Amino acid sequence: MPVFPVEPLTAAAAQILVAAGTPVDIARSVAGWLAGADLAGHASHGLMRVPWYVQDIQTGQIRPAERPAITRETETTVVVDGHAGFGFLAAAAVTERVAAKAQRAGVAAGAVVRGNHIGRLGAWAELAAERGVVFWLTYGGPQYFNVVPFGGARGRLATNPMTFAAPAGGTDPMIVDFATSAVAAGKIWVARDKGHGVPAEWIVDKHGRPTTKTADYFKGGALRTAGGHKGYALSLMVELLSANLTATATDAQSPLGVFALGIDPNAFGAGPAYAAATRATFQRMRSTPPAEGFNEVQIPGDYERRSRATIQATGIAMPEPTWQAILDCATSLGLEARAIERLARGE
Amino acid sequence: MPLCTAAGLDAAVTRIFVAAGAPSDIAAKVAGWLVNSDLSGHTSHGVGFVPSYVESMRTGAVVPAERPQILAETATTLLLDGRCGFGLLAADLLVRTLADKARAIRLAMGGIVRANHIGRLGEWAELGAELGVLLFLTYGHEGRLVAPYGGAEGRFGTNPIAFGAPTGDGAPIALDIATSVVAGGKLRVAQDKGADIPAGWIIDRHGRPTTSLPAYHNGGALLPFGAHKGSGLALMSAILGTNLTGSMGHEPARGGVFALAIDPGAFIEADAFLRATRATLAHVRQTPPAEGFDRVRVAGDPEREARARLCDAGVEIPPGSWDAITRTAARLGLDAAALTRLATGA
Repeated sequence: MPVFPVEPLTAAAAQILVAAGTPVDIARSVAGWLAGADLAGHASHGLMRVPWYVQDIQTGQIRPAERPAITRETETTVVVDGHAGFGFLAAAAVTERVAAKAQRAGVAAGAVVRGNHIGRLGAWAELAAERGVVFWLTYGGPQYFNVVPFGGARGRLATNPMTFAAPAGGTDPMIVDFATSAVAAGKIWVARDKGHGVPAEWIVDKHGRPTTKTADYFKGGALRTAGGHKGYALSLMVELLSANLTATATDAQSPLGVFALGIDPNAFGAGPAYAAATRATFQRMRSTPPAEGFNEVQIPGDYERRSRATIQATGIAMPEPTWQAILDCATSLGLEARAIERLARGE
Repeated sequence: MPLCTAAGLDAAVTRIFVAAGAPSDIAAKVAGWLVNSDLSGHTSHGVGFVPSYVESMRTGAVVPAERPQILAETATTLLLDGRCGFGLLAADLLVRTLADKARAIRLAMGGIVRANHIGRLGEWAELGAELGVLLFLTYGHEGRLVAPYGGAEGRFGTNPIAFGAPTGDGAPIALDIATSVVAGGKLRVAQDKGADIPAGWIIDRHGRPTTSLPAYHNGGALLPFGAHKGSGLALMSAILGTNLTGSMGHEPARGGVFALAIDPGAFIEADAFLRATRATLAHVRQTPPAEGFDRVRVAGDPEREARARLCDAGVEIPPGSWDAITRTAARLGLDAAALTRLATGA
């Protein structure tokens, strides 16, 4: 499996996005966020997606030169129009704006419309935590329909994920980030490619029966929700907040929306006590005796922090077919594969 | 197993709370919320709580005459002190005030310290929806019931979450979920039946999955739902409910509540939200059901169906539960037979 140093690989990805018509500054930002997902240990949301984004540019789904703009604003609310550009830009804009407003007003909420895909959700929670605010972001809407409601036999929901950040003043924050489906669809693809079965909690066949055979998923099956009726209820909550409240639900081009909430840790006057209590909460978790099969109890966000430390040093490993797909994409845009390869290797 | 009328049960429970020292208006409200849980099909949060509420009043854990007070208030925020009274009173005041604020200025956030038990969380999700706002609420408490993901020991409570949203057609969504696989009450139900606990609910003191209730009681714990997902949500619920509100700095620290209210027109326009939400809920309700299901429901549907059925048919209180209630009443000097007549409308 080829391994690349982080910065050169990111620069190579940016060059491909530029060749597809993306302005240089936007291409660098987007490549940086994608590499951030690889560094966090979530390759599924990382640079392997470059060819997908290029395809989205070619079909007109993503307008690569568009930049987000604020279309409505009050002291505590903001609506960001992504203008069908890269969703990363709109997600960053709404996060920054909501964080700034929360620090002034105690609490603030934001929405993204016409946003496109916004990448790994945890990135926005991490950004908000850096700004020092408690943060909640949901992303979803009526598209894909690859998740079955509890008790149903057909997909009617998206994976409708959410992320939550709890900064703790001077120590690493907690970053929760999960899909309300049992797993992301990518895990079913991975299992199929490896010829593995999956736990029956993950998928149903076309009759709504739990199954362990990935083939059933691809023949009209669907993902199940996390924890049965619980993940189902949360999925609907995410859809209502992200798409219905923002009116993206009726936008055929871009039905997935973003809801973001920022809270000043001192909103109720508990600022220092909040930070101390939150550090104590983290300590209570980490000091829990581990269950069999675990070395330790972590808090959400620990895994990503460790991955970053490791991968920054070792570089980003990419399966050969994934790297080849990126090179093919570059070639199709008139770039020279060998030049991209040299750039990515930092030669 | 007495078949009680809703009004009769309300009157009987009110009488017990008054005898235990609650002012009559507070007694009537708390009775109403408990009875509504029974009517909603959630016996676990219904009048079965009467003996424990009366016991809490006796020990002073619940101070029945206390009313919630405002600790801090801005245009967008509200912090209440439940003063260790009935938490349901504080929750009711919080949701109503936040709904008013949100309707006026789009968004409002609040909390309760020294909240005590706030009853069935779905009650507050339904109330928010009825008042025309989206309402998100979490209840966090220090506890040792639920193990964090990967842990062998209980380190938090069931830290539940509720969410309600209006639809404009009288059939709103109202979800109410513990972040553990099941609420602690379900273990009690299994115990009463002498049944084994289903796999995936609990661990023993070594963190090993078990179906044995004795292993759970001997240092075991409940598991969070969906592994790391429920565990992360439980932490979110605790951090919002207790840490953000400063709950730990108030003696005694008895659980904290966080709530957020959003006007459906906060970003775009309210009608667009209501239309889209009716469409979303219709879309999922019309899903062809899986084997073993008669149809697909939305959170809040089972409770609405139960109320429609039980408001007319009456509520059957399990005999053990009713015996405990009448024994409690008798200790307070009430006539148990008269109370049963009152509750059954005889």
